[in-house]
Amino acid sequence: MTVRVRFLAHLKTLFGVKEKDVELVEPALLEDLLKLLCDTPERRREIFLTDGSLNPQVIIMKGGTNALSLQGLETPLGDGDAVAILPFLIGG
Amino acid sequence: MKDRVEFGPKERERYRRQDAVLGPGGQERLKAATVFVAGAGGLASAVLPYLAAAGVGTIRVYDQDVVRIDNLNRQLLYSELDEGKPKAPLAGLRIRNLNPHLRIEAVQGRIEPAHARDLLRGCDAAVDALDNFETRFVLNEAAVGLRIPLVHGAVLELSGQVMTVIPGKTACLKCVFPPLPARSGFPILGATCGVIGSVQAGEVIKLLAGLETPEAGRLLFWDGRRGSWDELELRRNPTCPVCGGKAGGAGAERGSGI
Repeated sequence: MTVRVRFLAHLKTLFGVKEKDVELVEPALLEDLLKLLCDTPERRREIFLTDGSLNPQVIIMKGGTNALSLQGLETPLGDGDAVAILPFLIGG
Repeated sequence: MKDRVEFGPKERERYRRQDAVLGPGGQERLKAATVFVAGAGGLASAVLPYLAAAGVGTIRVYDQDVVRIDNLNRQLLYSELDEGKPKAPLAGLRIRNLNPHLRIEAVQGRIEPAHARDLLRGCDAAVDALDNFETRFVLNEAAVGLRIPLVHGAVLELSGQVMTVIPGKTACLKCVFPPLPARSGFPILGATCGVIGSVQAGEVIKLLAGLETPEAGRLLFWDGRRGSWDELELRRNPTCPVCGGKAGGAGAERGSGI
C-alpha cells in the first residue's frame, strides 16, 4: 500500500523533500511509517524521544486528525492515507 | 453587533480606499463590531494596528505582561522607554492614536478559566495572539462556548500558522493541538510575527465584513525559509472535550456570533 507524506517548515529540509509517497507492507502502523522515514540520527531525534515515544515538538496528522487523538504510534494506516508532519509552533 | 452606526466626514474619507474591498455595508459592520484580542505581544503588534486602521469599532485587548527589552525585535507597539510598563494600556494608547474614532478597552490581566467567558461576552470575533497553549485552550473553550469565531496564530523562528475556528462548523484548537508545556524565550524573527499577525487581522476583517472565509477549517502554514505557504485540511475530533465534534459542544451558550 502507498501512503502520501507531507513535511512542513524546516522538516522539508530535514527530510529533503516536501512530500513523498511511501510504500508500506500491510498491515502497517504509523510507527512503521515514521521508523522508515527516520533513517538518520537527526531525523530520529526530531520525531522520537529517546524512550521511543513521539517528540511533543512535532505534530503528526493523519487525514486532518492529530494522531494523538487516534491511536498515537499505533494508529493503523491504509492505502491512500495522507500523513502530515509539522513542527508545533507556540510563540506569539 | 450594534444596530446603527454613523460616520463623520473624516472617517468616510479615512476608509474610502477599502470600501470596494469590504462591499456594501462592510464598513458599517466593522464599526459596529467588537473584537477581543488576547495578547499584546508580537502577533498583536500587527493585529492591533491593522484592526484599528481598518475601523473595527471596539477593540478589547488583554495582556498580563510588562514590556521587556528583548520583546522589541518584534513588538513594534513599544519602545525602550516603555521597559517595565504594562503592555495592554500602552497598546491601547498606540492604536487610539492611530485611529481616534474607535472605542479601546485595554486591560492588564491574565485570561483565567473562571472569567474567560465574561471577557469575551458580547464580542463578534476573538484573536489568539498569545504565546502559550495553556491560555490558548482557555480562550478556545470560551470562544467555542459563546459561539464566537476565533482566529488563531502562532510563530516560531521563520515559521508561522493561522487557523480560523468557526464554532460548530470547524475543528477547534483542542481538536488539533495536544497539551504542551509553556516555553519562554523561543527564537523568533519579528518579520514572522508581521506576516502571521497581518493574515490574522485580514481574517477577522473578512469575518466581520461578511466576506467569504474559505480557509476556515484549514491550517495555513507559512514557511519563511522557503517563502511558501502550505495548507492542511483539518477534521473535527468527535471526542474533543471542548467542541465534541458537534455544534458548540459542552456548555455552549448563544453569543453575539456572526
